[in-house]
Amino acid sequence: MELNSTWKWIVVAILFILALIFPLFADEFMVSILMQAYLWAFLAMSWDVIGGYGGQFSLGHAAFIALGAYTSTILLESYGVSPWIGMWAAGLVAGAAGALVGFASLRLRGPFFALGTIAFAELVKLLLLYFKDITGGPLGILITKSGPEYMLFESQAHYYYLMFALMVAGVLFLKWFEASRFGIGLVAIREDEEAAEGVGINVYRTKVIGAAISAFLTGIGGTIYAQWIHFIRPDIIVKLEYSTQIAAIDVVGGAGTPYGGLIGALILVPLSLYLNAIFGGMIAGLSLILYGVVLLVVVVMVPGGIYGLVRRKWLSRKRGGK
Amino acid sequence: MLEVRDVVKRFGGLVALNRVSLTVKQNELLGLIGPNGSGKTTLFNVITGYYRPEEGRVLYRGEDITGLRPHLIVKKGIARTFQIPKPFGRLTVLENVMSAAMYGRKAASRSEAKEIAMDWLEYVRLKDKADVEAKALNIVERKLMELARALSTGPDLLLLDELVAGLNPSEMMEVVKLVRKLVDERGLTIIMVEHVMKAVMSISDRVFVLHRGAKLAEGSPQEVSRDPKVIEAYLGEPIQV
Repeated sequence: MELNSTWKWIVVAILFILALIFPLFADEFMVSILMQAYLWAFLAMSWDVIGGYGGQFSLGHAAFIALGAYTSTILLESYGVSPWIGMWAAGLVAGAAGALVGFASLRLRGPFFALGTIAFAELVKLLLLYFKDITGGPLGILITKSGPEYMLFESQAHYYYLMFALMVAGVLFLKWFEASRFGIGLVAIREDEEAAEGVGINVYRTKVIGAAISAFLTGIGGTIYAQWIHFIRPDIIVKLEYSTQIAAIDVVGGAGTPYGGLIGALILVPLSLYLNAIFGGMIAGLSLILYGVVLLVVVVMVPGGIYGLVRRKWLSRKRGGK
Repeated sequence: MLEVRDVVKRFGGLVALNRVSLTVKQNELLGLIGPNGSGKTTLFNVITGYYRPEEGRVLYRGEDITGLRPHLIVKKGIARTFQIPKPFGRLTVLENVMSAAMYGRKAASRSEAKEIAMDWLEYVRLKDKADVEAKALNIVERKLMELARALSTGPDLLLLDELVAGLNPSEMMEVVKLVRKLVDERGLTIIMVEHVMKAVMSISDRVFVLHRGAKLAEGSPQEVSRDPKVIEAYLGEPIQV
């Protein structure tokens, strides 16, 4: 056991160093792909709080990306507030909206909750289009500032490190979260709501706060996304495709685990980018189909996702070796 | 300690509880028996806040707790087990029981909760399963884990819903002894719903018989088991206590 955990740390350290020096030897395209995988990993981990640990299958998380992206970008372009500060406001705005979705989860179960969150995302999109004096409506907002003090960088490598840090923060957060009192309470509700109440867990409060935390983190991810892409518009962010991608990544990697988001993103993000590059304009909605198929296969064949599968195999081998 | 006063609970046209009154004294073990559908579990659900009664009151230590939400009732010091165990399947046994200590009557810290949980797991002899996922437990272990989990909330009043049903005779006697010890050694007050007459009659201080949502009889195990009304409605024949 001692030896095993030593090896584990050595492997983690090597991977960490490899990830850090990756931009030094890889070309810009590769860096860009891995960078996007980190960003989506973080978004999937944010989703995981309510979707995985909470068991509430949201298909509206693109709305929280948008709320975060718009909040920090409006603060930046209209008021000159740096996104280093604006991202926290972005988290709070998205978190407040997340609390609303949390209230909805008290009434809507399973597929009805998922449908409700799709409707919620559409509503957010309509509101962003409607209040065009603030949001720029269908034209969106272009980020015109520059400089690291505004979280804007010249090279993709800088963004790579930014998103790497975000991803690592996400993993560490989930590691802490799943062992916390709140995390255990949320999982207990997922497993059996009545029994959870029976041990003193306030189901309403926990669900609402769980959704708010998830949305808070997603909102911060939204800020980072906007800073990278420099341009936001309702229809390019609030897409069902994005909401689905977030959920698919997490479920494929292993929902309700700290590593599921990262594993899923490392597989699905390059795959969808390549497929889009190859088939791009030819087949509309190709990535949606991809996510649909992958989700279906994983849910049916490998419940627990890839992380769950690997963990089971590893555990059974360890037992067999005794 | 607990007083249920004239409680009425209806489901549509069905009257599940029809003006039921019941009192439980401190440090007493009350057996609650009756045929299927007589309202035993419904009464538990009313006491623990899962159902709100249409009429009547539930008083706990003189305080009106009628219709309080279940998690708040736990905080008052009332815990329960479920007739069909409800484990948090993908949490470990230890985490299951810890959650109760963390969220129960006194919000224990993680390390305190672990200590409390391990103590109760040892009490129900499930300590060696602490790190197993709860869904891997068999039915007996699930019941014992439910008991440990309820106890970890730190209750003064414990409601056990068919804890020994489905256990074989020797397991049953073991568990029954554990329950009795909770009253004698730990000072708990217990209401126990049970179908297994031998179990109820052997350890209850007092027995309360429900029949079609109303009280049929109440008294010592000896009195109840000789009561002609109880024999006719439920027991079928007199039983030896």
